[in-house]
Amino acid sequence: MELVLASFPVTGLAFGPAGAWADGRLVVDRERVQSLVLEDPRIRSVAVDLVEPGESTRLIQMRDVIEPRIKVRGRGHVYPGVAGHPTDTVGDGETRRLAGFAAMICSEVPPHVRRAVSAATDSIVDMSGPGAVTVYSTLRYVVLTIETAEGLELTEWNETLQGAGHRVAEDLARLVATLPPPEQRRFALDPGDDVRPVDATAPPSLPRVVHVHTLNASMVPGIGTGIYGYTPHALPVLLHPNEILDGAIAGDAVVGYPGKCTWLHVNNPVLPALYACHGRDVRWLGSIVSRTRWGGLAEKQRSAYQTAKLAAMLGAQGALVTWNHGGNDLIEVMLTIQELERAGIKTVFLTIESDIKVVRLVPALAETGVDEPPLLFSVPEANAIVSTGTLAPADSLPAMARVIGGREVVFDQECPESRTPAAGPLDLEALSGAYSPIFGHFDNYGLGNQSYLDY
Amino acid sequence: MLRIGHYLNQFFGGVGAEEHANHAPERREGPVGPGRALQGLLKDEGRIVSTLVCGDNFFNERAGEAHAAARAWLGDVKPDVLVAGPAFAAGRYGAACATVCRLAEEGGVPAVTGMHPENPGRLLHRKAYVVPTGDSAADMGRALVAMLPLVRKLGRGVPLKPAVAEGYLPRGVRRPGARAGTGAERAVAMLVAKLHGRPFETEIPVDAYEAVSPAPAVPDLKRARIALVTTGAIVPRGNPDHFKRCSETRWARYDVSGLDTLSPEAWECVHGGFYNRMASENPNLVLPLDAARQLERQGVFAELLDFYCMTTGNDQRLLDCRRNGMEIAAALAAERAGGAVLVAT
Amino acid sequence: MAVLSALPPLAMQAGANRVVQGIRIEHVCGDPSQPPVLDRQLRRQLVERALHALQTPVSGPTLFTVER
Repeated sequence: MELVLASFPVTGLAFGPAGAWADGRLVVDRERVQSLVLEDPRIRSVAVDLVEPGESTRLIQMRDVIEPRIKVRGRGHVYPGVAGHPTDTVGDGETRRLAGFAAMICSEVPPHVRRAVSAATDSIVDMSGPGAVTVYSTLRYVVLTIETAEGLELTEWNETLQGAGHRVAEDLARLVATLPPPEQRRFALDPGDDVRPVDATAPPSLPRVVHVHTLNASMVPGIGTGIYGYTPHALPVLLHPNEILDGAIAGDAVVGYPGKCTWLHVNNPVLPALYACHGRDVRWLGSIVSRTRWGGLAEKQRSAYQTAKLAAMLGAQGALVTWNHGGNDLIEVMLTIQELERAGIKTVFLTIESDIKVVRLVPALAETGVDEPPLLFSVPEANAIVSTGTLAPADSLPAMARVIGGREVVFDQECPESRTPAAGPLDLEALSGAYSPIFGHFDNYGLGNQSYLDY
Repeated sequence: MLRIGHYLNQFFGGVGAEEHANHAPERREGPVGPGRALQGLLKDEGRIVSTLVCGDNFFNERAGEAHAAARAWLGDVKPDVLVAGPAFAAGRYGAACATVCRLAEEGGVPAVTGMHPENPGRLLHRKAYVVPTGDSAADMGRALVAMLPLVRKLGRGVPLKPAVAEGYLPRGVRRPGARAGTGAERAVAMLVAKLHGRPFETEIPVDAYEAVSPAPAVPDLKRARIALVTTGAIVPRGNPDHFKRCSETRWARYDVSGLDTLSPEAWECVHGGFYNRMASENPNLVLPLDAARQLERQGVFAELLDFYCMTTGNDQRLLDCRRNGMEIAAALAAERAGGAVLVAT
Repeated sequence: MAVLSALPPLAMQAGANRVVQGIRIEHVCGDPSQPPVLDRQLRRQLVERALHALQTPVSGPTLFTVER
């Protein structure tokens, strides 16, 4: 399978009477965006704003971030299986993207959703200042602040927001569908050719590796990150990395943890890093996606057994294992590492460091080690680990001139009546509940070089 | 000019070998034995003003006296930095060196020692600054040279860089810091190295938790008072004490005297780490009061305590877990509980 | 003390010496998908197993299970 990914960088944003992209400058037709969103009668109103890095702007109540992409050649539709898109297998032909830019869906979480899904938390992105610590502070956005009709049931609320975000993202991507692309990359992988070498006695020249892309599934039915829109817990599946590049893994509009973000999945740095190595240092066989956060030990073990078996049947000699959540998901991830190693497959684990809440990067709050183990659970076989540390501001957050996405933030999911005005200075240590409210505070896939060091 | 105090055992202090391991703590003026070599390296930067020599057996077996002597010595000498050993592979000497470092630090004196990375003495003070050495005194010259920069920095109060940069062994303390290359790049590079049998260094060494000595078996269950505990966040409905769904620091006890079961009208589950609807519909699924009462009525054990203890075991900091565990244990012991059943979700 | 846990490896790694295999994280001490009488029976068996573990001398982390 071969995918050509054509990138159209966005380096400037403005509203204008007709949408267009030229030399990095994206003009957004505000009325057109509004009417696209309002096509869905379940949406009462929408505000459309443009936001750029470096501004004194605080974005709040984001539900998902979607990179505008469109398939111009080849099978299927980007972000297959969500927002009504067909489920045809993707990953070949040509896909175009607006790079460094995204549609951000913001909407206030209704009380009944907050009660049903503890992971439906409020987050913030500061576009400048000490809080601008994640990749999300470096992107340009069209922000859709959506007010939905009252009383939408959970999955309908999700669908409504997701649909709006994807409609706008696709419409914007269409602006570059026929333009000459400034940048193009070719992603080609044909694992089938090399799994069985012609001469069985000759050692293969390059070690064979799988990418084990474990993916949290929601314990609440009908929501969460999905594969071709399929969200429930399921046995592991083999994906071609180009399927992931084409949006086969996409987030929902409900859960708030960093690893859910749709933008992150198509921009997962592990994919280009393995591609850079493929054919040179390794032969990459594909990406096994295993769901995590199974409810019982037997199910966690089953996922580990099946993942290792799939890798072994493919002839893998090495595996790069990642995860995208926290807490008890780590148990099946570690059991998977253990099973892979027991099958003779050498593993490397790419992980965040601990999932204690760090809202300020000071030793008292951010230290791990003997007193605060960097990993909740481990197995002796996990002897090769890369840590992406954690992302947090070094200082209290200052007031911001502009707040987009809402007016107030619920920092403590336990006390949803306690709402803090978002514009002012924010002392996250005092305000935050169980999780850091900074959107994307875990660099699950290693976009940056922050880590932890032994002292 | 740094003031330096040096700790040595009986052998390096020139008293004698194993037969002098009971040598009582003895102060000597200036550098002794390897201290002279260290002084030579320091030149005018520092002066070893005093050396404490103590037998390894004395230090480990008469700890009270030895610690007091070391503290008194440090108090009198008031060094800018304490140097202990190096102890190489000698276990008792390593233990003494690590302990003297701890005592010094507790008294406000920075300290550094040297020993073989596998010297079990390190466990006595994990946070000691330990420069890795070979396993015998043949390594003395190199070890002292390796210790010198830390002697200077610690003595001058210069903040230390990460272990790998400064040449000391990791102390079980980790802090945020940048590495070369993105996480994704480093992961791929580590995999390639591992596949080709090339050396690599894990970024998170996997440490075991401390082992816990098992409590003796309950000798006579029929006469035992039994306690129920849960980290599954079962609370009276309405959550009057506002237990958090995650990152809770506290624990609580709730009265269940006279109750045969936990009804969903009166109780609920507020744990945020799993889908807690079933536990709120039947709290006995996480705090099995109904089954425990049945067994109590049948005389399987003497009686249930009047209360159960709970917390929210979800993203709790280890320090809070340890403290809560100790306090709950104390509360149960005060009620003469003979055994406890802890339900973890 | 005996720990009733759906994830014994976690409990045992943390140092718990008497660990009884529970059912699932969401319902460690029973099975709400079963008729109530069977759920209660299962719960009783689990608590009995925990009490049995309390009476059993152990030298390190030990797993106790209930046959279903």
